[in-house]
Amino acid sequence: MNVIKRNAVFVYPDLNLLSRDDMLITNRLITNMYTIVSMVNKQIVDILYCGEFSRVKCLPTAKLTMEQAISDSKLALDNIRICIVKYKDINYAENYTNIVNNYKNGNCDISHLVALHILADDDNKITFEQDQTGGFDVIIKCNRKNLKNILVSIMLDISLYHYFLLSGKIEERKKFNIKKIEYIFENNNPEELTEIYGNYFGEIDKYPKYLPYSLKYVRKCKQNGQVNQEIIRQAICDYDAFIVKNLSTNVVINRNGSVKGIEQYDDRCLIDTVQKLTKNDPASCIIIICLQDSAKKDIVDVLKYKKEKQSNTWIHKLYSLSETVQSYQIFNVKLEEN
Amino acid sequence: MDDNKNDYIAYFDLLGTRGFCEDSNLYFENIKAFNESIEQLSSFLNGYGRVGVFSDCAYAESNDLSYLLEFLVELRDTLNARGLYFNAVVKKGKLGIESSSTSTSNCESMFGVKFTNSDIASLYIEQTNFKGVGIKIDEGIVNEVDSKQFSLVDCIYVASKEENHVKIFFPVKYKDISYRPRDEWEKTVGIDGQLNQFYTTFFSAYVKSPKFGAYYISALINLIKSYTTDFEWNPSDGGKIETKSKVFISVKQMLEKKYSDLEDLPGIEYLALALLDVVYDSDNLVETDKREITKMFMESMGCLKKKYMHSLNDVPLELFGEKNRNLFIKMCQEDLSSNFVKDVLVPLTD
Repeated sequence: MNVIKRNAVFVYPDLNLLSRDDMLITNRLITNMYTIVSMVNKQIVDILYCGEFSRVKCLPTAKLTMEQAISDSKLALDNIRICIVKYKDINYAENYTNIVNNYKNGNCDISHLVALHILADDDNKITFEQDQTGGFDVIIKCNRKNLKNILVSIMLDISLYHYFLLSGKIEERKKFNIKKIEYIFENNNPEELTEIYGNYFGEIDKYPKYLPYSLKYVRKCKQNGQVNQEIIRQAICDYDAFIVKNLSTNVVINRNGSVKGIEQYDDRCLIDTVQKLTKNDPASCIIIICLQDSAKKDIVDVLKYKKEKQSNTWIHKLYSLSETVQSYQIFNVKLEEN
Repeated sequence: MDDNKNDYIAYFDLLGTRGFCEDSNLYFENIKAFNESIEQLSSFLNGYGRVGVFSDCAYAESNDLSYLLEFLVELRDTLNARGLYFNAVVKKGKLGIESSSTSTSNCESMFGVKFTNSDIASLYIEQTNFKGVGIKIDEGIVNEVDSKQFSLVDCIYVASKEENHVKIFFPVKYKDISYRPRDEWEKTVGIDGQLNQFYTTFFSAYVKSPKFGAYYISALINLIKSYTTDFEWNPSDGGKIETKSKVFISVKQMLEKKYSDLEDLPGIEYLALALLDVVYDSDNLVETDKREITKMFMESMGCLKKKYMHSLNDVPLELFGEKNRNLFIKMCQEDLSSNFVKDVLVPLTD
C-alpha cells in the first residue's frame, strides 16, 4: 500500500507575542485541527474501503504540521499543499511567504497550493475564491464544521486521480487541474456552483486555479455514520466520464477506412487494430490504448469500450496490465460525416 | 522567574513508549510530537515557570498553580488530539534544577541536569504509582486550585498488589482536572474525533496487555463525568436512555456489546458504576426510571452481574456515592430477590 502524505501546515506566530486571549485561541485552533485531520483520515479510509473502489493501492493521508514562524525555520517546504492563513479575525498570512515563494518559483513538486481561512462557527457559508495576490491557487473559507468535508474532498480527488492511473508528472498534474476547472465550469449551472463552491464565478478566467471535484459527493456521502456507496459509485462514474471526455484524442474514420488523429503513433499495426475494432460500429466506441513506454509508444494492449456503457470497467482491465503499462491514451472514435 | 519562589511541581510521562512501543519509527514520531507540543505550549507558563523535557517525560515547575495547570490542560488536550496520552502528578515543592556538564580536553564529556531538592523524589514516586491517564492533583493542593478556572473530578485509577502470590486489582481514588469543551463545536463534533482517537489508542494498549489498557479507565471516568448531560428514560421498545452525551453512549455500548472482548480488563466494572452514578444524580429521572435503568444495566452488562453484591464496599465513595450506592443495592436486592423467588417457586405453583 502506497501512502501518499499531503501536508497541511499551520505556521503560527510566536505565542509569546500574542495577547493571552489570542494565544488561547491559536492554541485551541491547533488542538482542533489535529482532531479534524484525524477525522479526515478516518473518513477517507471509510470511503476508499466502502466497496466501490475495486482496488486501493494508494491511501492519501493528511498530515498536519505545526511550525512557529521563525526566520531560520527548518520546515520542509516541498510537500505542503494546504496552509491555514486565517482563523476568525486572526491573520497568519504573512507567515507563509517562504512557502508561497517556493511554490511560485517551481521549487517543489506540488500542483496546487490551498489557503484556508477558518470562519467563526456561526458563519456556515463555504466559499472558494481566487487569491488576488496570486500566491495561492484558491482561498477556501469555511467554519470548523464544514472543514472536514473540504479536506476529505481534496483527499478523495487525489484518490480518484491515482485510481485512474493518471500521470505523476508535475506538468500533467497541473494541466489536469485546469481541465478539472473547465469540466466543473461546463457541467454545473450557476445555482449548482453557488451551492457547492459558494460562488458563481462567471467566466472561466474568474475561477480559482484549484477546485475539488468531489466536494458535492463528499457532502452527501456520510449518512448515519455509514458511507453511502451509491454516492461514491456516482462520483467514480462521473470522474470516468470526465476523463474519457476531457483526456481523449478525437479520432475520425472515413468510409474508406483511413484513420485521422493517431498519426503521432505512426504504427500501421495500431491503425489496423483501430479499424478492425471500429469496423461495425465506430460511432459508439471509445478505445483505450495501453502504452508500455511513452517515448517509444510500444503498444501493450488495446481495449475497446462502448460509450454508452456506464460502468468504469475499462480501468479494471487496465489494472491487470498495470505492471507493464506506464501510461495510456484514450481515443474517441467517430465516423467522418459526408 | 525567581528560583526561590517555585512552589508547584509536576512530573509527567508519555504513555505508549517504553515497554510498549516496538516500532522505532512510531516511537520517534511520538516523542517528537510530545516535545513539539511542550515547546509550543510552554508559553502558557507565562514567565512564571519552566518545563524540562527528557525524551518521553518532563518536569515542570511554577510559582503560580493556575499557569501550571493551564499548561498541563492545554498540553493534555493537544496531545489527546494527536492520539497521545500522559499521566501527570502535580504537587507542592521545588525541583532545584541545575545544569551540569563536565569537559575534558576541550570536549564536553558529560551534560545533564541535576535536581538539588528532595521534593523530586516524592514527586517521582507518586507519579510512578499513578497507574492512570490523567492529571493527578496532590491532596495537599486541592484547595488551592482556582475553582473558577478548573473543575476537579473525583476519579479512580486501577492499582495492583500481590496477595498470596495472586495479583489483585483495586481502585485508588484521586482528583483529576475535568475535560472542558470550550464551545459547541468541541462538545458536539470535536468529541467524535476525540473519542475515535481515544478508543483506538485504548484498545491498542489493551491488546498489548490488559494492564496497559487499565491505564485508560481513569480517563474514561473523567470523560464520563465531564460530559454529563440530562437524561430521559424512554420506556418504549424495551426502554432506552435518552442523552446527548456521546461519552455515555459509547461507554454503555462498549460495556454491553464488547464486554466479552474486554473481560480481562482490570477495572472495567468501575466504568459501569460511573455510568450509574451520573444517571442516579440526574434530576430529570424519577426513582422508577432509575430502577428500570438499573435493571437494564444488570441484564445487559456482564461486568455488573454478581460481582457487586458482595464487594461494593471496596469501591471508593468518590466513584459511587453513598446515596447512589444504597439506591443501587436496594434496587438490586428487590429485583434479584423477586426473580430468585419467582424462579424457585414457579414449578411449585403450576
